[in-house]
Amino acid sequence: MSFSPIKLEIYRGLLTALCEEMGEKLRRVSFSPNIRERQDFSCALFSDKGEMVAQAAHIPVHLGSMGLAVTEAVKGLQSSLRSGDVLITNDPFQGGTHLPDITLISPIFLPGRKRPTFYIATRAHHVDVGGDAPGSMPLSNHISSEGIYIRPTKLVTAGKINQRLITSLAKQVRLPTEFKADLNSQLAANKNGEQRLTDIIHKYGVRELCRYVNHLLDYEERLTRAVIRGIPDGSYSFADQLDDDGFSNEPVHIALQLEISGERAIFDFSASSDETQGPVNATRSIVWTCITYVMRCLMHATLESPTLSLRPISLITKKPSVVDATFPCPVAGGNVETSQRIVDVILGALAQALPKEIPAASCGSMNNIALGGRDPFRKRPFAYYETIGGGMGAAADTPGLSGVHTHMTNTLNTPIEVIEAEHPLRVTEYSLRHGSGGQGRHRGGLGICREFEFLCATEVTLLTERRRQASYGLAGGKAGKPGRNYLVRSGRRRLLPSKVNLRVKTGDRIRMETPGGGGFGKSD
Amino acid sequence: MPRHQSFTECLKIGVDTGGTFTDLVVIQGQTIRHHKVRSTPHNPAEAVVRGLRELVGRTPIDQLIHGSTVATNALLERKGAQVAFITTNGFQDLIAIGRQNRQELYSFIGATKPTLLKRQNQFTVDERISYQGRVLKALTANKVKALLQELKQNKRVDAYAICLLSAYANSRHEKILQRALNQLGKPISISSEILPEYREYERAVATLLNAYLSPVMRDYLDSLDKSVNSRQLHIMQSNGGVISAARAQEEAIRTLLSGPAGGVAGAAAVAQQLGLGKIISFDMGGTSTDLCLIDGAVPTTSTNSVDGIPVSLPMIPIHTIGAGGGSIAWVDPGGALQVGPHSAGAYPGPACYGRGEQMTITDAHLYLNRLHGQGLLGGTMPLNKDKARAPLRKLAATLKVSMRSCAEGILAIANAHMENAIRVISTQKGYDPREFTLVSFGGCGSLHACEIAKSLGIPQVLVPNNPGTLSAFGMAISPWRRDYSQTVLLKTAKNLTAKHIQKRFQQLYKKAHADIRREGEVPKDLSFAESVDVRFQGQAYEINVPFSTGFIRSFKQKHQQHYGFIHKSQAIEVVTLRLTARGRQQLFQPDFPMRLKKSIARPFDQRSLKYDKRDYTIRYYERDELPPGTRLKGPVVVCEYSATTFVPPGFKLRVDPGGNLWISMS
Repeated sequence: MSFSPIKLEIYRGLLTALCEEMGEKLRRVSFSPNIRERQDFSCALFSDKGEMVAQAAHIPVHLGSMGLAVTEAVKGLQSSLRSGDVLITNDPFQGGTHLPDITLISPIFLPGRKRPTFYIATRAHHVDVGGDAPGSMPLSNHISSEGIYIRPTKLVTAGKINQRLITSLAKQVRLPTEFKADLNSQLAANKNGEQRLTDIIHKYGVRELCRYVNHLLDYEERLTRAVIRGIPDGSYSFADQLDDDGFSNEPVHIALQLEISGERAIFDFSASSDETQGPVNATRSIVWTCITYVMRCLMHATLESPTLSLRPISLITKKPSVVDATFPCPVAGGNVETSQRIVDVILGALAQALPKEIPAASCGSMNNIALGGRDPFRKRPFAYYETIGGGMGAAADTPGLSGVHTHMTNTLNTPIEVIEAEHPLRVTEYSLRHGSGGQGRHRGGLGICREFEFLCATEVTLLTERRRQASYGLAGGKAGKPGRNYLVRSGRRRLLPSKVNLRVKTGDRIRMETPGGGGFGKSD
Repeated sequence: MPRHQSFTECLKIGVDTGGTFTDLVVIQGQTIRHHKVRSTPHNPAEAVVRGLRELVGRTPIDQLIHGSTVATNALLERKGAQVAFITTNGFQDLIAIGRQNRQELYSFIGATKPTLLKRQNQFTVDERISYQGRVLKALTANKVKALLQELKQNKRVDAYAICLLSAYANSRHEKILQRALNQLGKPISISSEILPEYREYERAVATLLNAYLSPVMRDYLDSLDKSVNSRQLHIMQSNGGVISAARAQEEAIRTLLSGPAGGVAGAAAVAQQLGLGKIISFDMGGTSTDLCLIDGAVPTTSTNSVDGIPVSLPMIPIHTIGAGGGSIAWVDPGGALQVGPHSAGAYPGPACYGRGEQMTITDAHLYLNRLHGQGLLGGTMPLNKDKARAPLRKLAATLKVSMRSCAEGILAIANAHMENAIRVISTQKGYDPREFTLVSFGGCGSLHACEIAKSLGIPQVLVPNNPGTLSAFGMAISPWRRDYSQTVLLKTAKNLTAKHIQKRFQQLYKKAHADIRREGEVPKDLSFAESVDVRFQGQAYEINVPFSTGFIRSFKQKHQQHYGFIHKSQAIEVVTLRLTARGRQQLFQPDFPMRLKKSIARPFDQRSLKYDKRDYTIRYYERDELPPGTRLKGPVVVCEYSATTFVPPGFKLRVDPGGNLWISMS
């Protein structure tokens, strides 16, 4: 089927703008800083088969997995779908990631068609979805402790919102007002996308739109194939590990056998560890997301918002395993910690094929700290969640950046002056961790030292990685320095494990030293 | 239209330094004159001086208002001063860490631009202030002495930047350091003066940037001041107002978007004269397009960034995209046609300039007869159509389409990019573009404006007189303006009344009056505007509303309008107070008629045009040969010295008594 290369680009721009507009709507209408300031959300348009047609460039960890959520959610409800319906799900085991990420899916029906032709979806990280700890990322051994678990169901039926469902969900979370406001903003964003799609259909006609959606999917496939073609044929294997699962001291292995032949790639993760008791299990959709992220980094740098096609890529996982988690194992950290290690493993394998293009391992952890309690000064409960950056891996021609978020996240920090004005906390140090970058021709980026002083008794959860196993160097470059967590009490430092739940006293400090990136090349 | 006494006497000149040209606009009484000279990037003052000499000879100038790119370029090229940065112990890497995010999401390599601050130029002092402004750790005389010793050893530093934690709440320690460092004889920027607002990184980077840019600005303005005979030298700021050159040397950060701000000010002034309240200013040049939506007054916001660095000072919100006449067309690995973001720039420029070999937007216009081959700038810059054909043929062959559809495709894609950009500043922000007029200027704007307007449902396009020097005009008529702010973090409760907030405003008034005294010549008819940044407690973003006893109600209304909801029971927090002092907006109504060469419009040339698969004859007119009252039907091209306007079939053009072009659908 022939197409106009000009119209193709115009449709790509139009549909991408549609997704960006949805994202802007979601950001503006939402309440929680997590969505509005940290921009932890994504918006995309899918074909009737659940293939992503267009997306807005938001946060890497969502992209690539939303299509699975669409196909899985629709599977059971296909025959009952009507125009004006909106589905809700956060089921990690059906295309989801972890419970705080809630996805809303709107099927789009064209006149005279019984089945949806498109799907519009938004996914947003809600600040709290209940469970054992504020922020819904506890150190637990069962998904039921991680928050409300929503299997795919109709939130809106033929335009009518199921208020009872919203009320019953809101009852189970810590910040019901924010939760409802953020769900409403997702609904508004979906509606906005639907409206823009209707406008486009009016302006350009259904037939041409549908034709060009197919052309776009083929175009995205060609782009993806071009990326794979650029990787030399061969079989590349690499393995790395997580420090532990927070329950035992045993490392958790992630292993990849990557086969490249011509324009096809097979990612085989089946030699990875079994499911773990603690919450470092990743769902299969997270693995897809990591693959999508790496492939997209390899794409033409000047393309502004290309979407990746999954068609030329196969993924093999063993079910159940740490990279293909099943109900009811805990998954809270799969999204934030295991995803980083999966990227490290993919890059480690690709480095053998593309030694000049692939950087050494980055920090490899989002260094999560969540805390809360009762603020005696402001006389109210408080909760605070932060992820801390680290060192970026060095590359063939540049040193790694210092003190940044790498790979699967890019959220902003909370300013110190905001933390201190809002919470019973004082930040006593926030600096680069000198000496933490792996040595080499180019040095790995430096990690961060961050020290909090508590002004009252506080519950603290740390969910961190790369405290034992360092971020690897490449081409003779040395590994970065692993991270460290300390409790400082009466001037004495006590080393803490990578994942821990503890209660601290007034005057105590928690000191986190995040990992440095790996170095690249032998030092002269 | 009332005429102002002050205007009839003084000689006022607006000067806009651009990448290729330096534009000058002279206003004397009710007359206005325009001039353009080639820019001299090695020393921008040279072109300014030459332009002035050619324009007014040795006549003394009353007021020279300059839009300077000196600060912008020093930042973009990382050619600012060596700065020593001083902060609280434990936070020496404040600037290096920033907000800990990376610029590019999908790149294995981080930033490639050099940093503004060298590690050996980071210094700390052992002190600490709480968020309430309480001293937790005192800054003793010994600590100050030790710091001075350290700083004295570092001789290669040109300026100092001081930003201590929580200095927005208590500036005492910063002031102590400032006094102590004065003996070192170099400029000092302190955060509690540059940006007394909370969020330490934004405040620190603003202070650092100011210290980084000010010495460069000082050198430039010193040399300009010596060679120009002007009673007053004023500099355009990013907020749409002007300040004295003396002040601009100290606060160079406020001039970062000097040039684009002039364009918006010019568009807004023209709109005001013509009674248009709602406009979208559309300034398309050779490498980029600047867009700004104006609904009533020219807006300013404090959440801006320049070259990836946050600049949290009030600025006109200008949305820039990388689409300009020089944008290069190429085919991506998936087989789709792409336009930009790379540009052929002024050198080598579009293929038709005769030096480059890449197909650009300008080449497509020329090939399709939307640009006349006689060339640009009154024929001093001829265009070579044959040179444009070669890369077009190659591109069309790759895409397997005709040369015509390839050229049309390039323009369609460029238009689509710009339409999407206009949606970002309008529909995405809750504005309906159908209520606005597109004010088109810059060298390329009016080649695209009609088609973009049609696609977005914008009912009319205005091409003002002398679109190529609109920025310089905007500068010449911009009023004096200064902004003051102070973070206060006040939770509203029963005991917090408007009176209480009013009291806190007094310190801002004190600063403002001190400044006005320093300005030497006191600006006439000063007015003050108070506003507050307000949010629901717990929110990360604030909304700015004018301050009055009913400010909470207006906050809730604005919140409802922007975000679609309000929190009935949530407490409200006043985060930052803002005070703007400004002189009166100067009205200018030039005397007409203009000197016209002809009384009836006659085309100087005509050619065939294929448009939407139909054949037309396109007529070319010189703009200064279009008398007021002229009405023409598209397809028509209007050529003038620094811009070209394309009126497609289906559009009609009208010339108003002031010589402005109005274009709308037939």
